[in-house]
Amino acid sequence: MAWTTICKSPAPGEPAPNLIDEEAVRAGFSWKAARAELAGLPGGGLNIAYEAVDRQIQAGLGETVALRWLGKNDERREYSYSELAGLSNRFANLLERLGIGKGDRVCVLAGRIPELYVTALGTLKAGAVFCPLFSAFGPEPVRVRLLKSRARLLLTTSLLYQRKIQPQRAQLPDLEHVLLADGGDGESGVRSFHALMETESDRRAPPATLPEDPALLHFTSGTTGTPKGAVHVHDAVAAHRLTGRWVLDLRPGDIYWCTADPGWVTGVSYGIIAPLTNGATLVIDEAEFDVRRWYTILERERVNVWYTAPTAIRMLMKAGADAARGYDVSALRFMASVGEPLNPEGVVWGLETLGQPFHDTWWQTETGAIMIANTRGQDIRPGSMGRPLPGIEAAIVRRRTDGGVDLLEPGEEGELALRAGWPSMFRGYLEDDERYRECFAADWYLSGDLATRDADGYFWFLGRADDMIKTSGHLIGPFEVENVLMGHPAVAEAGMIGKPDDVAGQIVKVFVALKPGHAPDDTLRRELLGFARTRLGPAVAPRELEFMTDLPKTRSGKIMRRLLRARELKLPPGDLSTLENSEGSRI
Amino acid sequence: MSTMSREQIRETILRTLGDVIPNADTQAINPDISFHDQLELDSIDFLRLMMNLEKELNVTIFDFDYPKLSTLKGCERYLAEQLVLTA
Repeated sequence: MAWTTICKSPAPGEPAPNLIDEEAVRAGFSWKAARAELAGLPGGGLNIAYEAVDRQIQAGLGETVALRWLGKNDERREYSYSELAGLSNRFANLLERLGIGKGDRVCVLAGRIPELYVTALGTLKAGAVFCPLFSAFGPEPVRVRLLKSRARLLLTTSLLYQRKIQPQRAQLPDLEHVLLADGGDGESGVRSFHALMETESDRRAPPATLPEDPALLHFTSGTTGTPKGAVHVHDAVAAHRLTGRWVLDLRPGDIYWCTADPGWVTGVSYGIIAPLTNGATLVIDEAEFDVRRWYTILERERVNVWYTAPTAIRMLMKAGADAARGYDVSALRFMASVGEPLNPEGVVWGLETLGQPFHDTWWQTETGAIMIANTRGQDIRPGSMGRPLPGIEAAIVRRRTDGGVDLLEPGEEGELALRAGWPSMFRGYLEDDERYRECFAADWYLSGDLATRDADGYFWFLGRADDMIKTSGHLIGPFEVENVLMGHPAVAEAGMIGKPDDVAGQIVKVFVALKPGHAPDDTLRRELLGFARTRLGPAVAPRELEFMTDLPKTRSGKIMRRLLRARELKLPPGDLSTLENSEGSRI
Repeated sequence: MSTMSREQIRETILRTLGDVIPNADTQAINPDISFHDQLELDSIDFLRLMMNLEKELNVTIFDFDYPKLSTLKGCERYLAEQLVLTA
């Protein structure tokens, strides 16, 4: 069905959007001018944490609440910008005392606890590189990322340490220090975060980082090979701050809630940096999703700007419009969504139920910041990704065999590409130049997303160009999942696909062929699902498993996941010319 | 269904939990502690548990009531009440 455009008109009494007349802004835009709005550091330096915290104190926001933390057992703690500056100085001083500095990687494996935010900002101030690990990863994704990052220090909790680090600590030779947010000193190399922090000064000289110094490391899955570590530099803050203002419509004093976990890029770019660099108060909820809790937070905290995800929106929709009745969400000025395309029903449901449409936004780990968006001042075409922001040149392209690209016309389907050169563009994959180079053709970054653009410049997402899937908004690649299953003695072959799911968007489904002598029964099916889940954790674990006698493969032995997907979705198989064996057979 | 004993309800819950979280040691579950605090499960797992329990027991669990089912004991109590109501 066709969806009606949601036309914007300013509500009485509401401030004008931060970004209006996008075409005029685009025409006069330069990143140089955007960078000039940053405070910067003496000698041409730049530091994300300094822009996020210390600068706000100079701007008179020292006593404004920077973080409002809501604990899962209904605790409540607030940290002003001044307090956050002091705490992040302490952590930077601590790192220095431990001999951790420029370029060293500091990882965090924790839920949404205040210590995570202090660690992130302190790490950046020390010139080290902050690398978050999602707490719902199992031991295997954690090990791979810690190993690859060569992290020297990890902040975690006692429980997560016992479950995911301690049993494999010997395999992590670079990991010198483990700090526990909730524990005392323990075995060798395990220290109490709070005890160490207590002895440090909360004063520190301004950071000494330059715009092109590495600042953030975000791991992202690949179709093949181990996860890639996308490196971002301090210069990215120009894009974080500007998109926070333009897309999320943030202004000083706003109450802002980003529901994304800082274990992923959204929870860092928009769950830490963008709101703080715009002087907002960041609401952090430690607890898992719960309908009543979420509406209560929107009402009680008087949230003005809310950035959430399609999976959460669909869970709210499932609970029904009645569940939202009786809650006063009148403080909401703007609602946005990210993680995967938001279906038009979700956009419109927001308008009908909460009085605001959800504004979909598009970006990736590699882009570092929002690139294409439905902004507050612009009409929404429900189901569309929106339009590229000023400063961003997006196109639909087709890769040529000579390494170049052809730019396609409106209405044509192709790969979404961005002209390289915006500040938050990743500067490399950690120790993987080849895979970095493969992301570019001429001076275009190729996103791997298939899309089309309409005559008015709105972009529409179509699917992935590869075998990556999105589950609960998280990008998952087949390699990690299949590799773990192949480690089970009964498994001969494994192939992963995304199976459509009403709430999660997609769930991880695996097809498995067994080695001779193993019976494909329910006991083994459960054992394999359990085996994978123990190692991968709930964030990556397959939710369904189906046995096949063999999996469809190309002549070079590559599993054709496209055929597994077509079979699951009852779609035509498409081109079979490269198929080696049968199309694979179900048991 | 309405004649189900507490034991049968508990067995159904544990079996359903084992389907959703196949690596969970369901026999070791502490009935007074939330599933979240003793097993690794995310919101999608919890939602699947709720929806599968609805299917298994042919009852309705309102989304607003999910927090009441966050522990094994809470599940038993809530589902026993629902089964009486639907009887």
